[in-house]
Amino acid sequence: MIRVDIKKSLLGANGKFDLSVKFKIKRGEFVSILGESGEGKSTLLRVIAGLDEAFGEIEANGEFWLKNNRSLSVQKRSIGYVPQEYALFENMSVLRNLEYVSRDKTLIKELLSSFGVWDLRDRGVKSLSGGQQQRVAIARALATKPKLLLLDEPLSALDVKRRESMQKLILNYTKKMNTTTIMVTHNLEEAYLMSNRVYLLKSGKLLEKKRENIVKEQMFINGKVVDFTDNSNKYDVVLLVNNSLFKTSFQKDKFPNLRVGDIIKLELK
Amino acid sequence: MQIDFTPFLLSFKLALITTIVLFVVALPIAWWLSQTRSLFKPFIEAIGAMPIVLPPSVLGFYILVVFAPNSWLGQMLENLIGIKLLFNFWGLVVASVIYSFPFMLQPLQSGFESLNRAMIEASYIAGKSKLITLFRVALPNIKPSLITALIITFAHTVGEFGVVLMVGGSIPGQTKVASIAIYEMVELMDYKTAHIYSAIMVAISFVVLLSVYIFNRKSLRVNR
Repeated sequence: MIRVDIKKSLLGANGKFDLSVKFKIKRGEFVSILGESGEGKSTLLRVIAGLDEAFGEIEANGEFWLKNNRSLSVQKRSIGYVPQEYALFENMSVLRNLEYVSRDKTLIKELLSSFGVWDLRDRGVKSLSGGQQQRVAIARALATKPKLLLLDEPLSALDVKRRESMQKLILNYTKKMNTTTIMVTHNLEEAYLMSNRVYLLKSGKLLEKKRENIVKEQMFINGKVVDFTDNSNKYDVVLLVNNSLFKTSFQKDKFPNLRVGDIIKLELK
Repeated sequence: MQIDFTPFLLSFKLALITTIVLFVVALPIAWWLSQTRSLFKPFIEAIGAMPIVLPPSVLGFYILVVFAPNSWLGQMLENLIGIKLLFNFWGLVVASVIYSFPFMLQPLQSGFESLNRAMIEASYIAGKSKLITLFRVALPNIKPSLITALIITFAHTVGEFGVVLMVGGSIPGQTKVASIAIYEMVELMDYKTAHIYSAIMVAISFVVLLSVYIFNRKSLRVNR
C-alpha cells in the first residue's frame, strides 16, 4: 500500500500555486493521473521517487519515505521510474543499461525480447530512435522488479500499433511482479484501458474519477474553422477535425459571429 | 654534442605526479561543485580559480613563507615526517598541485554540469551509491572533459616556470626542470642548447595539444 499526502509550492504558467495531493493506492493497483501540461504531474512523480522535495508524508508498505521533513534516500525506495526524457545511460549499450540495474540475466533477455529490442542489445543508446529508447527505458525500469513503478508519458513516442502492444506488455509484467504503478498520461484511451483508477490533477488538487466516469454518454468532437464563405442564409465551412479537412454547411443564425480559428463542438449521432 | 635529457625527464615526472595527485584531489571537489546548491559554492570556485589570475611569483612567495623551515607548517612537517619541502622535488609537487589546480578542476566541473541530470538520477533510482554513479555513469559520459583536464594539467605543469624557480631553485636532477634549464642556458648565452631544448618543448607541446583536439573531435563524431 502506498499513501501520499504532500504539499509543494510550484511555479506554473499563471504564477505560483500549491500542489496539495492526498491519495492511497493498494498493492498491485494501476493508477493513471491525467491533467493538462504544467499542472505538476511530473513533479508529483518526482516527489514520490524522492528526486524533488516536498512537505508531508509518503508511506510505502509500512515504511515512511517522507515524514517530518525526513526523507528516505532515493536509492532505498526500490522503485522503477521512466521519465519523459528516458534517461538511458549514454555510455552503455542497450544490454549494459539493463545489466547495470539488474543481475537477473534471464529477466533482462525476456524483457528486451518481448519489448522488441533484443536485436539492438549491442547498440549504443544514442543511435536508437525515440520509440526504441522509450522501450529500453521501460524494460530497464521493470528489470529491477520494482515494488512501485512510476511512468511519465511512457508511450508517447510510439506509433498506435506499438502503443497497444506495449500497453498489454506493461500490464502483464506489472501484474506478474505485483507492482504498484502510477502512470502520468495525456492519453484518455491509455488511462481507460490500463488503469484500475483514474485521477485528474487540476489546479494542484487530485480528483478521483471513476474509470467509468471518463466515458461520456454523448459523443462530441471538436472542429476548427479553417475557412468559410458567406452563402446567403448559410455558411459553407471548411473544418479541421482530427487532422483531416471536411466541408460542411451551417445555418447562419446559429453562428452569428463565426470567425476563422473558432472551435466548434460537433455532436455525433 | 651530448644533450642532457635529465631536465625533461624531471619535468615529465613532476607533471605526471602532479596530474595523478590533482585528479584524486580535484575530482570529488568538481563533482561536489557540480551537484551542490550550497552558498559556499562561489567562494570555493573563486579560490579554485585564483592560480589562473595570480602572478606565479605571488604563489611562489606564499609557498616559501608557509613551508619555510622556521614557519609553523614547515617545522611541523620536518618534526613529524622529516620532510623539507623547499628546494627539493616534493616541494615542487606541492607547488605544482596548487598552481595547476584550476586546470584540472574547471574542465571536470563544467563536464559534470553539462551532464544530463536525469541519467544521474536514473542511477540513484537503480539503488547505486554516489561513488558508483560517479565512476560508472558520470565520468564515462564526460570523456572529452576528462581528457582535456588530464592533458591540460600535465602540459601546464610541464610549462611552469616562475613558481618552480622560486620554490625549487635550480638543483640539477632535483628541481632543475626543462623550463629552468632553458632559462639558465640563455643566461649563460649557450643559445645552441637553449634552441634545442626550446624546440623540443615546442614540439612536445604541439603534439600534446593536437592529440587533445583530435580526441575531442573523434568523440564528438561518435556521439553524433
